[in-house]
This record gives sequence, structure tokens and C-alpha cells, in this order.
Amino acid sequence: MSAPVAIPAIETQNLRLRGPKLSDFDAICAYFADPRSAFNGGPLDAEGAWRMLTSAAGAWQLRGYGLWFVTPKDDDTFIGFAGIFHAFDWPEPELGYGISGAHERKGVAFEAVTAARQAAASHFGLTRLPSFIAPTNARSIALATRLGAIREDDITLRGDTARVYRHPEVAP
Amino acid sequence: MTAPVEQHRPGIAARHAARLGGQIATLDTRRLQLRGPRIYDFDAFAGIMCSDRAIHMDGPMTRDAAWSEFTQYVALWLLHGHGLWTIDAQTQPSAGFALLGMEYADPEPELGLFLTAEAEGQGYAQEAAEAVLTYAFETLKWDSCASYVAQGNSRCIALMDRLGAFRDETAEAELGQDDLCVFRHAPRQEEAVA
Repeated sequence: MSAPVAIPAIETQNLRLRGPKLSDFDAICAYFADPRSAFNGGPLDAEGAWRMLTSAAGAWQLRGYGLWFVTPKDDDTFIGFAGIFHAFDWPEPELGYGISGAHERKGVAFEAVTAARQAAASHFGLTRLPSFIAPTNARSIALATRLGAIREDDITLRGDTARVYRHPEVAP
Repeated sequence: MTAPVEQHRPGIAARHAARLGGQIATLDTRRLQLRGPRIYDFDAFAGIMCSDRAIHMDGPMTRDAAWSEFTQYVALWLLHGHGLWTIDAQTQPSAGFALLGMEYADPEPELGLFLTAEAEGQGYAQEAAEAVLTYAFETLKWDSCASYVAQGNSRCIALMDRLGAFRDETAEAELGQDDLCVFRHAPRQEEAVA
């Protein structure tokens, strides 16, 4: 018998990135109740948050890649997500991320996204992902720039302009 | 229109998806095999959900909405340990789908069946449903399972009768939706004793 296959878990200095779990639901509801989630498809009621959780879990099963849920290393509580996001109407998979307001400090997003970008390359061979970012999302643009992503031509997503920031090639 | 996300792309990630999907229990019946869904089954799923075949299941829906349903149903394996199977028939791969599901607003898990038009009329739905119910009662140890059936869905109501399910009027009253019947499946006597 071979060992069960699992979504790979990634550890960084302060964080753990792991697959979605049912017990994350309350924290996801809180994340998407916050108006700050507007850049990630929020705000959403509990049913909408359930769809987000199931979309994230289903992507892993169907595509083999998906979003990792980010937790502090010493506490299994969801504080955000980072990884490969591929919505039905997306032209290609992107490096997506979101960290809850209470934890958005001290380079948490930078640490999580750096690890997710590396894991996308090492585990799934996705070595040059874009991030699609709303022109008004200054924090995300600053993060993508800090991560070395280069702006390409804008695209239209769901009727709105999205900036494309292409991350540098990552060695698997 | 098909979307990039629904295309099978051979590679490391597709291999990982295959291995994750391979952990879902395979159920064998006389003429069918029920197995974990793969991304290339979506075309058959969308064929059902985006057509008049889905008229009793909130359809026909857009392909985008069908993708959302498909991923939700498959996701249940990771979140709840039950979910959607693809039905491969002897004569037709991806002939349909069987579900032990739970939608956000559902009070309890349900058995659902979705067949393609080509697969209908051959007793496949009953054969698949019996295998899934056996799995629910014997492997998952459920003592009961519901099916939510639209009042006008006479084919499905006939199937419920053949499966020995009974109308649960208490559950219907609690649900409070006039056009929806709740059928209840229970373990057969010998299963209950075992």
C-alpha cells in the first residue's frame, strides 16, 4: 500500500500553507464578511463563503493544484490564502492571495506568497504565473512589485480592467 | 464556450489530481463502475446541467454555473468524505454521475443522480443508486439518507419507488417548499441488523 496522496503542506519561518479543511469555514466566513475582501470577490454571506471553500477544495481534486490556506505555524487557524487560483472565466491560472486584515502586517503576505510561488513551481511545474490585480488595489500592486513581478498589458476580467503582473521565472 | 480551466493539461499537476481522485472509493456493479471524477468528465456533466435535462435541478444553467456545481460536488470528498462519482457504463464512459451531496442549505446529506440522455432507460440509475446507498449505509454507517425531488419529476419519483424510498412528510414540512418532495432511504433490514 502506498501512502495516501495529500495536498502538499509548505512551512515557512512563521507560517504554514496547507490544503482547505471543513473546520476553516468559520474563519472563511469572517474573511469574506469583511468589506476588505472586495478584491477577492467579497463581501459574501455564509453561502457565498461556502462556495469559496468548496471551489478551493474542488480545484485541488480536479486540477491537482489550488490555493493553500495560510495559518500561523503554531496555530492551525486560517488567516488567509495564497496559491494557484483558476476561475472558470480566467484566461490562465494566476498566483492569487489574500490575508485577513487582522494579520496583514509584518510581511505575512510577502512570506506566504513567496512560499506559494515557489511551491507552484516545485510541485506543479508552474514556473511563471501572473497575478491579476485591480488597478485600485494599491497594496497588492506594491506586493507584486516587491516580489519582482513585471507589468504586462491589461486584460478585462468580468467586465473590469485588470492589471497583469507576471512573476519572474522560478526554478522548480 | 469551453474555458481554459476545464481543459485537461497533462503534466505534474494533472498527475497529482489523478492520484487525489484515485483515493475516492470505486464502486463496481454488474454493468457500471462508479469512480472519482476527473476534469474531462466535466463535458458530460455540463451536457446534463446546461440542457433541459436539468429542468428539475435549477437548470438549464450556464456552463460557468455548471462548473461551480461540479467543483462543489467534487470538493465534498475533501471536506466531508463523500461526494460525486462519475458513472462509467460498459457501453459508455462518463454515462452520468451519482452524488452523496450536501448543498449549503441542506439539512442533511442527499443521494442524487444525473444521467446523460444516452444512458437513460437502461436501469443504470437504479443500479448506481443501489451501490451508492450500500456505500452510505455499510461503509459510511449512515442510518438514513434523503433525496430531494421536484414534484413534476415523474421519472425520478418512479425511481424512488423502485429503490424502496418513502415520502418523508415531516422533512417536507420542515423544508417548507411546496414543489419539492423529500424521499427517505433507509438501510434494508438485513443491512440494519448486520
